[in-house]
Amino acid sequence: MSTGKKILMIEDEDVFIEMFGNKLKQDGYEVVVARNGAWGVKEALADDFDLFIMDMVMPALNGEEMINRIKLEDKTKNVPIIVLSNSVDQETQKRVEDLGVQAFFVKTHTTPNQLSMKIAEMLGIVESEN
Amino acid sequence: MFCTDIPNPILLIFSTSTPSILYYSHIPAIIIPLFFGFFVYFKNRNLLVSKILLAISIVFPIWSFIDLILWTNTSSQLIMFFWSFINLLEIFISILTLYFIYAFLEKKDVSFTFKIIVGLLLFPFLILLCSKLNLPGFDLTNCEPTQGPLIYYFRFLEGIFSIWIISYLIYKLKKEKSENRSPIFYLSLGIIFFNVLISWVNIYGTITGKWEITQYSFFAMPIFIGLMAYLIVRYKAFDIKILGSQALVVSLISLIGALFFYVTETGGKILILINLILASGFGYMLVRSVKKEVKQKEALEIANKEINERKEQLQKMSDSLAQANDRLRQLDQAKTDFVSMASHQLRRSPTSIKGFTSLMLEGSYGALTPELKDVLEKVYKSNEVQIAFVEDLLNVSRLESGSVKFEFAPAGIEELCQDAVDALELKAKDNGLYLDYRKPKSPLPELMIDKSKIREVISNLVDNAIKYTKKGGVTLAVDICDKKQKNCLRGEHLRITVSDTGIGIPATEIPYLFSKFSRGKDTRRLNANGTGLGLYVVKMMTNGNGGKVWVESDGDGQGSRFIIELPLKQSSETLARYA
Repeated sequence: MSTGKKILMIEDEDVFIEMFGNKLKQDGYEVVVARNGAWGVKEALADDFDLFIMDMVMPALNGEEMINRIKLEDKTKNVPIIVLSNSVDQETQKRVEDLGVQAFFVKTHTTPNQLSMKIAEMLGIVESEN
Repeated sequence: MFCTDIPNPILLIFSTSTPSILYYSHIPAIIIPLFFGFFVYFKNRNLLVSKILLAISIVFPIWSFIDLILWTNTSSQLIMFFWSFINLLEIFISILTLYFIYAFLEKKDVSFTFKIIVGLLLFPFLILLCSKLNLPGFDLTNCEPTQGPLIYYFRFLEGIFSIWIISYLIYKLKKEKSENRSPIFYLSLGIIFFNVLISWVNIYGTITGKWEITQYSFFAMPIFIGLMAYLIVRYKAFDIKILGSQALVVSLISLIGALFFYVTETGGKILILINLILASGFGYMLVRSVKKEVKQKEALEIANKEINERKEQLQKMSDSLAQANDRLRQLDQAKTDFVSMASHQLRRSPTSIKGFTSLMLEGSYGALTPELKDVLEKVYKSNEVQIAFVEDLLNVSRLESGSVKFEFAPAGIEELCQDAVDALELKAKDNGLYLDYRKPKSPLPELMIDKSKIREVISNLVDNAIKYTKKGGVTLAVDICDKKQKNCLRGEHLRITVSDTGIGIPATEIPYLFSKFSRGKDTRRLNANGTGLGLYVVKMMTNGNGGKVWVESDGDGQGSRFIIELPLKQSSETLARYA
């Protein structure tokens, strides 16, 4: 059953693309994958997305810069962003939260199911309990 | 009248019939150069220029003396004898002057070629000195010898040396950079002045026959010698004031002394004698006070030099400290970067294990047999332990490198305790334990703490308590501790106590509990899921919040109490450290 929501996932590791991406697809989201930051920004501007999920450490453009670019464009600045990253550094987290990122998850502490439930909550699809 | 009518002077030079201007000009010209020359020589025995100056300051007085003899005497033998080589002395002075300026400006001895050239020029003059070419006869009317043709060679030599000196000085003046110019400038000034006065005045005398003006050229000598001495002394930088004052005094005394011969009446002579004594006294005091002033200045300069050396040392130290600091900052950054990179890498595998096993357990990849489910759960759990360990490791690493920021804000402890209890209630229940939260008697004041850190600390301790308790439960209590209670020695502060009915801690292990990787040596007590870092992190985080944490236990199997104390008011030191 489709949720009708389109998610852009910007992630360079295949393993995680499969792990999280497939789960989200299973749960009815349309998932588009971009494997590097620059490509991700292009995609973000080219199409209409309901949510961005991004890693912070990526080739071509790092997460912070990407967020900045996205927030600059009218088309994308109001789309919620979830940062799903493994390199956590308190400062970066704070900076990124200041930029207006909706949620910050550490991959190691989040199962694909938990991610999907959080997304559902954010997009107001289903009222779920944590 | 014939000059033989004039009586011969006593002591070779003192005669009543000579104009006193003669003595006035010659005597200082004898004494002052000697004084300067010897003074500079004794101060700078090693320098070539001092030796040359000494030579000049000996030759010139001899020349003055001989000139005085020639002026005052009438004996033809005496006159002929001395006159024959007085010109030689003049040439010597020219040569020595040239030698002097070369040595002074080039700072080294002249070349052998130079010496050969000068020698060759001088040679004919020397050998013809005693011949008829020099002084063929004696004129009784003037009391002077008649000059032979050698005089022209003499004037020629004088002219050559004079031009040589002047052109060399001009060449040097043009060649040198401006900062080196002043010694050359003064030297040139002195030399040219002296040279002009002596040599060309002589030439004038030769041409016009008016020899009287040569007297005035003698005044040039003290000035010249003084200037030379000044140059050596100044550019060796010492005692110029003392030298100057001494020179002034000596000049004054010798001039007054010369005046003695000028005045003929006894009354005048007595006055001059008194003047001489007063001048000597005054001169002595002047020189003494100048010496004192110079000594003080020297002492000051030495102190100044020392201060400057100190300053340089301190500057060097500060520079090397700054360098060391930079290096440390670099290392620190490298550490942080390493941790960041390491955390990224250390988490990759555990993440995929966690993700995929969870998906499998949730049935995303199809139904599972009970055995598969069991095994997968084991994989999942063990991976969680690994994740927790990596987390702890990274935490510790970051805490130790100081890259963890503490954010202090007013916060209510009750809320944090409630959060911990809410989060772990279920886990306790799953383990068949109770989890009690004993609230404070009256509402607690807000504390300036880093909320997330304290929350983590409390959770950690409660979690630990649950882990190490087999039956019974865990109690979380928080209250103000004040002096009235027997345990509170440090004044008013907040106390959080996590007590359990668990396996307790033997006294021998208590000291090591909060160190890195210590989990107690007794294997019974080992919790396979523990990382050994938990309590260390708790300690670091508590300390960072200006608090203290410790443990009390009645022994093996008697349960334990973990106590955290936080100050009611945060010290400025703590706030500054992590700001």
